[in-house]
This record gives sequence, structure tokens and C-alpha cells, in this order.
Amino acid sequence: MFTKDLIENLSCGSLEEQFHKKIETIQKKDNEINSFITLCLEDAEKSSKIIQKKINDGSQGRLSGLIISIKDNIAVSNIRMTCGSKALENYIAPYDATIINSIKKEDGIIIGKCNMDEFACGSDGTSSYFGLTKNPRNVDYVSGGSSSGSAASVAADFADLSVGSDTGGSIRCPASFCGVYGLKPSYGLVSRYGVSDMAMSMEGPGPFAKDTYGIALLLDVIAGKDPRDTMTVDSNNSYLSVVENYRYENIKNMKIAYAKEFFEGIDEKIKNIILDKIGILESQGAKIEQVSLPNIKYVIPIYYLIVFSEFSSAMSKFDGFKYGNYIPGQDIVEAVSNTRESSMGTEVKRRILLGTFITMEEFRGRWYTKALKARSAIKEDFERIFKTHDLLIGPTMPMLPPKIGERITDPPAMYSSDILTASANLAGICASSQPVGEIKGLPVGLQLHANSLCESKLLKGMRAVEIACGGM
Amino acid sequence: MAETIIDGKIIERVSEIARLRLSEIEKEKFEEEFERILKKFSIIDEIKVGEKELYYVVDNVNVLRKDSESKPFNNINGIKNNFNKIEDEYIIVPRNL
Repeated sequence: MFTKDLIENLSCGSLEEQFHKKIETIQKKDNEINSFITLCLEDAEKSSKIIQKKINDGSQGRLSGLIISIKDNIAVSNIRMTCGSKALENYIAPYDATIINSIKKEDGIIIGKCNMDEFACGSDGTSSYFGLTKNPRNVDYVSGGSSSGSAASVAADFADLSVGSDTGGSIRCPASFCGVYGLKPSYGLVSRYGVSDMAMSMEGPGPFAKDTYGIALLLDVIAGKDPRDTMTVDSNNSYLSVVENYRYENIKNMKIAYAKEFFEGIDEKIKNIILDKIGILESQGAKIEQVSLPNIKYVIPIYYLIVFSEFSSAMSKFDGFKYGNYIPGQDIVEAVSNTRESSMGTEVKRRILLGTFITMEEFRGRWYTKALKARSAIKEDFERIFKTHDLLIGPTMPMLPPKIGERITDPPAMYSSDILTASANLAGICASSQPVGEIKGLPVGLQLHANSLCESKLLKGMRAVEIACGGM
Repeated sequence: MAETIIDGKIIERVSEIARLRLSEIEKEKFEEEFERILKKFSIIDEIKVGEKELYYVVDNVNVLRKDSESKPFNNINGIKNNFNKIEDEYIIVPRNL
């Protein structure tokens, strides 16, 4: 297991040497990839020296000097936090997010803050005020988003692990496009304290890694109850031991469902790769059954109506008084309007306006309230499947990464790329993406879903797929 | 021909309520786009939601907690430094009356 070997190497080799190798790679390649908005090399070097001493006397934490990159909507104390927007160009986070605290305590080295779609609005990594992130597998292609820099930094070996956030696929989409592992935890498993909110009922931070082991290790560190996020729940699971104790023959007890709707209208070559992997799992003893997700065609409207509403409310604080660069006007209304006009990109404006419209008194019942009610239908679909099955398997993305410059800019078409990922966020369940093949050098991601707070099952499934694909 | 959902007047009102100034070109562009987006999203009318409950993500219920002593925040300057103007202990914001 890659990450496990890496930790073993770190514990007997020189951490500083590893650290400087990473810096060299970043300096050589990130000018082109653009996965970081802010690097924190001085702080990182300081921590590497402290952690080296701890390794020497055997007292290091669980992350033992692994290099970790952080999406730029998560607060790291005294480091700039931009959310990929001009509105926060000069904002310095005054405290650590709870999960950053945990990472520091377990001796992870935070190397920098990752590029992202502006305020996480996007699924291709091109809407950042700080420029688009290129795909390290092929720099002519987009990296996926919104956690574009997180996925790219792991794929380009700038970081060993990364933390991103997922509201409708923002971890899984770039993980799939860049060919790395990503996990969107169940709602409530990982604290959101210190994460800039976008759609509070759906989003949450989660890990990126190069293998299942790395995902489980980082999840162990960041999961669990936080008094500062009242939606969090206890987690006594040791996810890493689930992965370490997994044996090849455990697959015989796995009941895996696949929904035919997840394969309709997707790229034929992606479909074939995923079906091939399902075939391998079946031949190894997994029980595979076809199920139906009848409401999947409603996922995009329900998801976006709720995102627009929650987003427009979350954005109201960027008014030039609390946050953002104030632009004067004749009166306060004009000043706030000017400030917001000048500091936000098109997709952010679009979502704020639509969210304002559908929550207005006279239109709320027709749109917002209806979407909230319809959301239950999606949750019920999943509940039904997970009564009889451990996992739901399918592709992560319906298409390969688009070429830079050829991406779709029409909003309805753009939104439809979240079709396979957004339902997990609506239902609050956990889901993952991992690389299982490639088409002309572009990675293909396989997605697994498991019921809410069933991350252990999800990780077992990820490990089974990893082994089925020839992983060690 | 189905009813129109968005018109120029609504865009004006929304832009005012959202406190987001829009250029004439933006107004026209958003009007056309929003109409198309919401027409597509009207598909949710097919779901029979009448009897359904409003959705809650987790089953947490409200609990009463004991008052706990507040912990002092140790980086007040970190908060203040994000504002453009500070005088003594005060944050100066633009005059708005």
C-alpha cells in the first residue's frame, strides 16, 4: 500500500529530504498546473523540523510528516484564505478549522492552500479568480472541480494527501478527472467549523489520497464530534484498521447494487470500463444485483434549487462591511451592490440571483419548498437500496475531462455534469471515487455509495475495487 | 406556449433584493438563461410531494446544554487586521447613514 510504505520510509529516512523533493517538484511544475493559490513553505519547513525530532524519538502523530494540501475554503490560522474569489483576495484566516487543528495535532505538514472554483461554484476548476487548474495527467484538459487544486496537487505529487469539500461532487469529480482517490463523508461525520459555507445542508470536507489506505488514515484524523458544529456525530470507527484488516476473501460477503439509470446517457467507453470492473468483482465472489433509482432525473433540479437558495443566503455576508473590498456608492444599498458587483464572478452572481428569486415570498412555494419536499424522495430511493445492499456502484462522471477551451459554458448543460454525484449530497450518505482505468491517457473514476455513516462499508468496497484493479 | 417565469421586471427586483448591481447586458443575459434553467427545472412538478415531510438531513434533535464558561479567543488582532481601517480598539466601517 503506497501511503503505508511512504510513512514507513519517512520513519526511517529523512523527512527534510522528502520535504525538499516536494518543494522542488512544486516549483518546477505548479507554474503550469496552478494547483496552489497560497503556499506556506516557511511554516511547513518549521513543522518538518519539529516532526523530524518527534520521529527520531518515536513520538510522532498518525500523519507522521505526510505533506498535506488544503482547499482554500478551509481556514488555516494566519494563512490567506480566498475561496478562489477576488472578494477574499486579502483575507487572512484568524483561526484554524477544527479539522486543521486535528491534522496539525497528528503531525501532518500543511504545504499550501489549493485552487478551487470561486466559492465552490463549478465542476471543472476553471472559474477561480486565480486562474484555472490544469489536469496533471494531461495539461490540455481541465482538472475538474470545485476542489480542483486538491485533486491536482495529489495527482502531480505536490502533496501526499489533501482535504477538499464536496457539495454536489466537488471531491469526486476532480478525483475522477485527475485519477486519484477521493471520499465524500456522510453529512455530520466531519466538522465544518472553519469551512466557508456554500450550501449548508449538503456540503462537508473530505480526504483525497493516492490509495484507500491514505483516505482511511486522513478520515480517521478529521472525523468525529465537534462541539463547534452541532450537526456532527460521534465516530468511534477506526477506518484505517478496516482497510488494514480487509482480506481478499471478504468480498464474498459483499452485496453490491448497480442502478441502470447511472449508465444511461454516459460515455460508452466509461460504461464499458465500469461494467468490466463490476464483472471482476462478481467473479471474485461479490453478489451483484441491478436496482432502480426512479427519481434520478429529478436530482439536478432538486439539488440546484436547494444550492441556489442556501448559497444566496450564505453569500450575503460578502457586502464590503464584514468581508470583501468596499466600493462606495451614493447610499448603502448602492455601495453594497457595487461591492458585490465588482468582486464576484458570473456563476456566483447567477446563483445568488436565482437563489434570491426562488426564495422570494411569492415564488418560494413553487420552487424552494417543493425542492425540499422532493429531496425526501431521493433519500427514500437510497434507503430502499441500502436495506438489502451494502454498496451502490457506478461511474463517477458521465464524461471524460473536457479539453480546456472546449468546456460547456451554457448553465443547464454545465449543471448536468453533476448528475451522478449530487444525489449522495441530497441524501446525506457517503460516496467515493477511485481510478479504475483510462481512455487515451485520461483517467476514469468508479463511484461507490454507502448508507449514511457506513464509511467502513464504503472503505471495504474501495479496497475491494483497488485489489480488483491490481492494487497492492 | 407555457407561462413565462422570468421577465425584465422580476430581474430588476431580484437584483435589488440581492444587492447585486447588474449591467443592461447582464440583465438581458440572465433573463434569458434563468427562463431556460427554470423551465427545465419545472420537471419537479411531476413528483407528488403533497404528503411528504420537509427534509431534514440528519435526525439530530434539539438538546439542552449546560451553560459553559466561554473560552477567550486569542487572536483578536487576526480578526481586526482583516478590516481596512482600525482606530484604537475600534473597527472603522464606511458611513452608511
